[in-house]
Amino acid sequence: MRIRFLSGILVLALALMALNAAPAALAQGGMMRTECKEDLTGKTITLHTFGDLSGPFAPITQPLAAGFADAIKYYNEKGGICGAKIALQQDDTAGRQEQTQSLYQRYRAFDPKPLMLLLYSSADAELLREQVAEDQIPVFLFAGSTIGLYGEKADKPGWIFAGIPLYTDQFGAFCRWLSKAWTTELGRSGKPKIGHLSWEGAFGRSTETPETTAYCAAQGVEVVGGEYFLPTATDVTAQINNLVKKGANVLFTTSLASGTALIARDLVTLGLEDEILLSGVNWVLDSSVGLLGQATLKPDGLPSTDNIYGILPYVWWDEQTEGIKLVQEQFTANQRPLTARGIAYLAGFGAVDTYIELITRTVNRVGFAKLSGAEVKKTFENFQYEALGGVFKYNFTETVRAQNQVRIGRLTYARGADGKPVVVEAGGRKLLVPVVVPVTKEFETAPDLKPGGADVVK
Amino acid sequence: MEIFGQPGFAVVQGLVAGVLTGGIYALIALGIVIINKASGVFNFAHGYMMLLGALIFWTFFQNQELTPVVAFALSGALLTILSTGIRYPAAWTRSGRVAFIAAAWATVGFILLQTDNLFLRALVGTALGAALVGLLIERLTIRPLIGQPLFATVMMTLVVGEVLLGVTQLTWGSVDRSLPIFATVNALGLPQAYPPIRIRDVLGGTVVIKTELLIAFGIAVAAFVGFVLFFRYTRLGLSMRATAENADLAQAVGLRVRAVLATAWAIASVLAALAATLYSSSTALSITMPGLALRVFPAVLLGGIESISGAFVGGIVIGVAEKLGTVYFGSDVGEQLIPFVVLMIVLIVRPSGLFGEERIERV
Amino acid sequence: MSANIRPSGVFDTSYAQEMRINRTRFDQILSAGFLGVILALPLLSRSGPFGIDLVQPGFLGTVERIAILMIAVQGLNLLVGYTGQITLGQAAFMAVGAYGTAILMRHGVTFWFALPIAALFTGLVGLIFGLPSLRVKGFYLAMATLAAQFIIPWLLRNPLAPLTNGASPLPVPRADLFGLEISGLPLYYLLIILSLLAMIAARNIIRTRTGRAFVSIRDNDVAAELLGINVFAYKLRAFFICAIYAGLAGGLMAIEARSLSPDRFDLRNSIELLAMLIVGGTGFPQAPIFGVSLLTILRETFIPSLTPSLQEWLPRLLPFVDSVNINAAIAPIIFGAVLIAFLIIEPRGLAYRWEILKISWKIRPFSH
Repeated sequence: MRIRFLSGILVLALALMALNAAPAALAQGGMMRTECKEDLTGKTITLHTFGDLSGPFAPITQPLAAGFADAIKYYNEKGGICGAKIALQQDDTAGRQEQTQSLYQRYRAFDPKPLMLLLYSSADAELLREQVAEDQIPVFLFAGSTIGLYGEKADKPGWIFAGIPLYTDQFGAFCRWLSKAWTTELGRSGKPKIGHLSWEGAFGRSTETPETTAYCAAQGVEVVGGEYFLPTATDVTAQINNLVKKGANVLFTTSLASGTALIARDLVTLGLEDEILLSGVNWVLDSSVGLLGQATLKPDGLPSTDNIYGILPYVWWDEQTEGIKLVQEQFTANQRPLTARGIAYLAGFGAVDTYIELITRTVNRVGFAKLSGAEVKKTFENFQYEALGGVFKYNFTETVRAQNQVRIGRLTYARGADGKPVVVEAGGRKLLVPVVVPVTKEFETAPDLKPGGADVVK
Repeated sequence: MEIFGQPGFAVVQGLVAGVLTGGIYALIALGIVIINKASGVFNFAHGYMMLLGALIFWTFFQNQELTPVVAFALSGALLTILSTGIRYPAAWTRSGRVAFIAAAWATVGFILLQTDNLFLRALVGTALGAALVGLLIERLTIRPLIGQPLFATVMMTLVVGEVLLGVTQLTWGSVDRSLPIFATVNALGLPQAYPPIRIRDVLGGTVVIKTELLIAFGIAVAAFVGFVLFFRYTRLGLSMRATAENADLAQAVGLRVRAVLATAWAIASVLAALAATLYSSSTALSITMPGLALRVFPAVLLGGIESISGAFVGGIVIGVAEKLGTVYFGSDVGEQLIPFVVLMIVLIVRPSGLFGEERIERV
Repeated sequence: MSANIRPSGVFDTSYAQEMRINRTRFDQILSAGFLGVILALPLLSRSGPFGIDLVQPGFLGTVERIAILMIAVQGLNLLVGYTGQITLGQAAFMAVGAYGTAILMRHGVTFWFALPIAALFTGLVGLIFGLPSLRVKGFYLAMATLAAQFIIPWLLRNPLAPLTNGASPLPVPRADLFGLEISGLPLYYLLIILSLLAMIAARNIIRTRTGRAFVSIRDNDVAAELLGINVFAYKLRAFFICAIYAGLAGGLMAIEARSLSPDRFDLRNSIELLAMLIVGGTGFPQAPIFGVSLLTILRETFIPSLTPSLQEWLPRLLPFVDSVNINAAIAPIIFGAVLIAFLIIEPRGLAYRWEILKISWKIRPFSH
């Protein structure tokens, strides 16, 4: 069983290398790590993180843990943080707020106090926003929560910094692109009309705000309304019909793996896969969606999740940069399963790299003895860095607390030289390989659509 | 054509989707009702038993090889089940029993180790695996509480759910999986789900029936007919009802109360696995599965907690209420509010559920 | 399910003694000692005046949450343990109290008014969902309250969104007393004192006419009616009191957590409150102390401290386990295993075992 699985991964890796080798030239120069001014050999610096590993977000977050583990192993072999060993302190909240609260109180009391917390749930960030500010612990968050970053009225940048763009901004960037591409690249007629179809809850509802609706209208994209379904839903045909009745020809979803796959599937069920464009925030391009979507094939024989458009605020696995190569090497060396080859693993790896850079710069500025959360935050507030040599581009300032460089990506499946989809075998099952193709080549700054943001239509 | 201001076909579509989804709800409700019938306990662990059952199915369905150890363990489970259940008809001779058990064991072992039909193997393996899970839960956690306050047992099912969650996390992790069982193989060698049935020009639009949900519905109906007959006519079914009514009395007249309880848990566990597999085949095998069982609670109560046919009707009523509610009021009302409003109304009109038995109380 | 298990040799010589909260000197010493330790805990932590590091600062937060949940579970105890009704909606009632307090405070009402008003309002909401108890019993009543558990968060999420921020969290202002903010140590003592008052109040309710009516309804409601007790009125009263307790706990949770979201009050939380009651010992006044402490300390302190070492050796022990999955799996497994053990050893709850223990000690060397 294990051996078959491994061989599957090997085949997959080979197939991907073959696919990538020909066209893509090496995009970047080497990876830029700031030189150390101080030698910290013999010391240990801990990376603190907790989040939902066994609750509703678990399908996305478990590969993250794999990413952390592999990255820490790799970087420790490469000398850690200026010689200091990186240790990991990690816990599970099971998606429960009271558990988040108690874990935070435990972490806050650690001696030495955490230099930074790594979180990946909007709800956790929003809950802890005031408390981390009081305790002077900066947070690096892998979610795009406006309230968590800027407070209720979006006017107070706090101690939280986000590794992906705010969901409102992602939606705005998508509208901006859609109005331009609708008749040209997408070859559609009429006007684009978007319906939100997302998971119930703070995460799912984050993209439908008055600001985004007004911004999209100004771009010539009408938002016709929203429908929200529970993660346990078995069928969303009624919701899709409701939105179609309101005139929607684009669906935008803020949901994770099985949620997006369910929408794609029911679009095929209703025979609407050609009429309706499915799109969403950065999570919809994840491999978890691409793998699940294969349960339903369209009439053309490709999975229901083929041609989903979404926000791509980082470099994907299929682009041949040095950072991606490094991650791919570690991924293969640690025998990670195909299901882990998604954003979470990449994000975990990138977060460790970013942490090393942050601490290195802070140590260079104030020295190891004065290292503290407040100093790390100061570094954060003026932080231009390309993690993993450009896979993640960060540009945090006093006022900008979220990554805001985006491209538009398209989820599709790997094709061979003959134009046919590549079928690999992993774990005794034949699979198509989900890939993400950047639709816009250059990174652009996403519109600032938090309440009172620079691009909000007055 | 419009029905109350909504396009007719959308209403019909909602109705069809509601009935079919209701079939899966009904199957889940059935598992909860059976345990309640046998032991009077409301099983909060059902959702987690579903998750585990579906993962067992996935494991058999996914992997080509199976170690003889696993096959042996599962056959052993079968042996245990048969040896408890088979003693019921007194007509069996000892040698007849032994021969039957040996034959069954050999057949299962052969299927598990030899067959190339993944589906058949997964079916047999899951039935045995799930039954084993049910038996273990009963033996290790429920049986020690016989004779203790009912509250403690209900509490125990909650705790069992927690442990099952941990076990599934430890063994399988929490990645979403696809389970394409109702599928043919297309030109590329990929599983291709059966196409949906489209009925054109119904009240001004096309109505779509999902094939896998239809099959699931058929299986649910078959299971229901089977269980209604089982409880009405078989010796085991009747003794389960007697045990539920009064365990002490049942013991006194010579029924094997412990065996009855064990069988009920095994059956419920298999039903949970079946429902979960059917559900996963229509969406994905996701760790959010236990949440589905919570949504079925109104269905169980609606039908009356002791009633098999009530579970069926309750499941379908809730399914239809959800989908029609979504068509008319949007999904935040339809899926999150309507089932509970229906539940409240039924409780006010018929406090013992649609098919529940009214009890007369005496001092 | 009797709270009055007493060994031979302990008897009351006066009515005053019969009515006391702690009947024996041993009980008095124990209660005072327990309270003393709780009150002294912050002094022994790193942030205390002596600078000794006996108690982890994180543990004080755990005690705060225990104090809050004890109030909610005591309300549940009055309804479930004493009146024999059941509710699966306690967390939803807490949500009403929490959001009520938070919304009033956000509109400038001081915490000291907001909390009682919100608690009373919760009581009224509790009355509404107690109405089905006129006709239904047992699991059907449970399901009526289950409906409350889904309808209330739905109301918070959708129609009330302008007040509650919908699914997004609602920040809660700090409570203050004459302009002084309540946080840290004062908050700790405030929660302990309020929790203590709620426990004493519950104890008092039980030994009044109302409390005796509750118990008679629990033991046999038909018989209670024959005795001339207005069963429905007393059931409603039990729901009202239970919801007020939930509302109080919710309001306190609002100022402790400083941020609310509907997810915090879902069915799982309701069921967990019931679990705490059952583990503690349904129908014993001390049940909340035992149940809440055990489950909360298990989840917040015990399991996280075990996790690192388990992560070390578990993959070596079970080769099929991927170390990535361990973190998520450990908590439910340990939590479940400990509770299974407790339930099998003492299905009637810890408070029952505690009473037995006291008796055994009193009449040693004879077994009880």
